[in-house]
Amino acid sequence: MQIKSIAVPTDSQVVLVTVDLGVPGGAIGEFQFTTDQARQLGYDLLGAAHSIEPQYGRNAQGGRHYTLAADTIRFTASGNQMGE
Amino acid sequence: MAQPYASFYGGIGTVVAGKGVDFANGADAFIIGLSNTAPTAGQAGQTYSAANITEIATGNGYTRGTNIAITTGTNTNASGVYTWVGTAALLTATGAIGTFQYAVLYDNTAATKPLFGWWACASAITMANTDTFQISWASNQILQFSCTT
Repeated sequence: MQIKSIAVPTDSQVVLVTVDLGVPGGAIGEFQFTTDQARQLGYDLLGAAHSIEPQYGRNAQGGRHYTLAADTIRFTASGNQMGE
Repeated sequence: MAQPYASFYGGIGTVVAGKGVDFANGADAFIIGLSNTAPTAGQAGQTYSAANITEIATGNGYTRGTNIAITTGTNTNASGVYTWVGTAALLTATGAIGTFQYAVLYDNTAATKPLFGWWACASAITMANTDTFQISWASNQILQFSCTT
């Protein structure tokens, strides 16, 4: 199965992907993604380092769900000995 | 640039050593304020005000001095490691909120409301109606004091 084309029609908010299904007769499949879905798919495939958009998912209301996975603040005293 | 690691304000050593903040279960109320201006550790203003953190405006589900509230859980203390456990409230937009990139932690109970530290989102966020924003820490561990050998 191979991708034949990826297109964003003028004034469209969708990404059209045409796929050669690799079966006798040359049948093709067409898939439509919204630009948000395509952006999220690109993010998922390429990872955060390649994304120019904030990472987000979708919440139950259909809105964007942004997350910040914050690191724990750590105050560490090293080189000392804990009392017995 | 993505920065999940915490950065500290320069005054927190004095605040912690001088009993200026209380992390014990439910003792002080902590809030994370949102800003689109990168804080600096040595900035002149080391206490909370909207100006000192260049806080985003109140409106559409975000209120200065109220959002984003931290709920302290049950802190743990074992093997020389004290952990402040807590969760951040979910921020829900009822209209446009932001743009912001920085989440600033401060003590909203202490007399001087000291600024503690901040985290940066991978990139700036502008929320629209029905969007949500969640800050989280692994195992809800916001802060740890530890002594290792």
